[in-house]
Amino acid sequence: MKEWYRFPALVMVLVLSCPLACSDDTRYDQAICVLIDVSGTYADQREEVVRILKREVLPGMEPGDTLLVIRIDGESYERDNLEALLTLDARPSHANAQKLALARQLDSLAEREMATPHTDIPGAMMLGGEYLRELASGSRVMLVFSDMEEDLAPGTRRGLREDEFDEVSVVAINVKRLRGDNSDPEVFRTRLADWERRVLASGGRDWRTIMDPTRLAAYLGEMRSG
Amino acid sequence: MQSIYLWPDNALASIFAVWLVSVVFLWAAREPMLRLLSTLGNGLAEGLASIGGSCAAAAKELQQRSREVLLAAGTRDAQGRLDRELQRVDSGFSKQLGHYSQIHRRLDDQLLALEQDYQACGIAPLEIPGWSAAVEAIAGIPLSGDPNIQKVLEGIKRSSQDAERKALQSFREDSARRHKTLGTMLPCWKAIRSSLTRMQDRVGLALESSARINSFVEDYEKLRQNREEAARALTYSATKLCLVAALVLGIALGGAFINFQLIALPMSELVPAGARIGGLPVSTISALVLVLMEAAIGIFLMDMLGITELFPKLATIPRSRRRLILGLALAGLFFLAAVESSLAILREQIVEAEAVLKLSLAGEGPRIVQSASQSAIPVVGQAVLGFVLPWVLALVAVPLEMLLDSGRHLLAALGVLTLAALSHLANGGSHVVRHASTMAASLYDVYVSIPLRIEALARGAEGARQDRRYNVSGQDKAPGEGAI
Repeated sequence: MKEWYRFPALVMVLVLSCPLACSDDTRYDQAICVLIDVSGTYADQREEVVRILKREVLPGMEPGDTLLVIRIDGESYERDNLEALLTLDARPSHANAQKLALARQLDSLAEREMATPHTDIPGAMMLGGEYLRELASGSRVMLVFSDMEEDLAPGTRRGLREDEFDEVSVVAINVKRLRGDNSDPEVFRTRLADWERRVLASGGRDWRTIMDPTRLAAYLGEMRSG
Repeated sequence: MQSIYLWPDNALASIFAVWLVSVVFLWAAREPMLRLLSTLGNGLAEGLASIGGSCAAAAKELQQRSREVLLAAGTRDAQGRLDRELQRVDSGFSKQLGHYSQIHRRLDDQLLALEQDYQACGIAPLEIPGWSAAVEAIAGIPLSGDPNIQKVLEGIKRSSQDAERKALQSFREDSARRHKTLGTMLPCWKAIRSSLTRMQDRVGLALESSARINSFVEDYEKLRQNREEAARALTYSATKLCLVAALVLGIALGGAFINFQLIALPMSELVPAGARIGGLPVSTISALVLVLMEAAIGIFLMDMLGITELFPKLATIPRSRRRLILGLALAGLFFLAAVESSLAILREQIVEAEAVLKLSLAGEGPRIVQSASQSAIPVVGQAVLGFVLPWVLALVAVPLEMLLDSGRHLLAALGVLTLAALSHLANGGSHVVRHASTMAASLYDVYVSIPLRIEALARGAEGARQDRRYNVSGQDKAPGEGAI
């Protein structure tokens, strides 16, 4: 009877410590790797790409999520091609400030003059895949903004390993049709099918082509919930 | 079906063969099969009857226990009400009796003052000592026409008129004083009337308390005497209480949900937003825990105030410690209410910031953003809600206790009903199985009726042959032997 206060105190301590103590090992954060083609054939799409990122990707990101932006140029497997790497703060207010800063960074990327004669898509994908593997987030998505026409510089070799895109969902979005594609759509379809085969052969979790950018936010939410 | 055909091409012959074999087999196994059916039927019927009996006994026992608990609870409630009323009457009477002495003293004082005033109002006629005798003596003086006498008489007349005027003046002054005194008596009468009214009210209250006590005592006596009726009344009362408590708890849960929604978003600023437990964000769980803590503190608060008794041990701790826990619970609730209020304000800010971010990312100008956040009403409303809802939530202990108390009786009543229904079903099932086994035996005989008939004929022929043989052998023997 003298220790009557112990029970309520114990209950209070247990209740308060429960959320802190019972941590979940499963990771629910998302890592999004954005590959932006800056080669000559896709240069006119850069502003549209930034607009899509600001409208569809950034608002849906949650505290703890990571965003990588990698430039696709003639030699994409360079660390310098990493334009932005940002993990959002755990506090929503700070995360919002980070999103605004990243939006400004993307604006400057859109305005920058860049044009390369070659298009090293697999190099950028390999670089992004390495970052994604290192981050080991709960869900990993690679968004490729390009015409998906690979044009390697002479002497450049790119071979995708079997586990290159392990647990990574690859999405080709805002894919631009080239002049040849209009004359023969089968060329375009074959090109995308070829990429699908390569991605899936390299351990990719999923391959998808999204034509309507407004569906991107829903897709990312779907990927997050697994 | 065709797999059992002996001749797949000739279904009729196959079916006939199967029928023939089965009939012969079943005829051969008739006696053990009938015994099996009978044993099975009896066993099942007895088992079901036993289950029915057990269920009925359990229902009766549960009903008895529930009735006892219900009556005990009802008796305890009646005793509690009676005790409380008696305590109230006791304290009330002590207080009122104290007041009665004051009222009595005041009445005495007022009556004394009235008496003094009454005496002061008495009329005492004015007298001028020796004045009448002097007038008579002077009146007896003969009028001689002497001017001196005339002058004396006139002087006396003047003096007499002066004295009369003075006496009249004095009388008027006395009358005015008496009227004034009578005027001061009026408030005294009013005060006396008010005191008497108060006394009447007190007596009325005492009578009311007596009537209530009478009613409680009658209830208590009814509980003691007519237990069956009282148990029925208490069951009805418990059902009503349970429904009311469930309704109020449902409303309280709605309040808790609003409370939760109010703080779930801003909690993400206080706890790691990315972390999750079982798929739920930690911020959501923290908000839920905060709401539950408010309910828990409310339970302690209500227990300490003596409104509920969810923790009986808390009722036995000393008064000083009760006060301490009460103070702590009040302080805790105030703290949580303040935290919720601030979180509600923070929520509004976060929502605004997110709206700004989305519009900014969409490329909209700041003008649109500003126009959306000019009114302070949402912020104030959310802050007030955040402060008030924890206090409202603290009251959830009362319906919770009611639900627990009355729900127990309701569950027991439902249990009794279920057990009684099971008992009836089992008894019915037992009858059905018993008749079904008899029917199955009859159907069995119907199925093997042809071999049975043949058997009966064969037995009949055999019996006739035996009879004939017996008769023939009887004729060969000497008379009298056949009868043996």
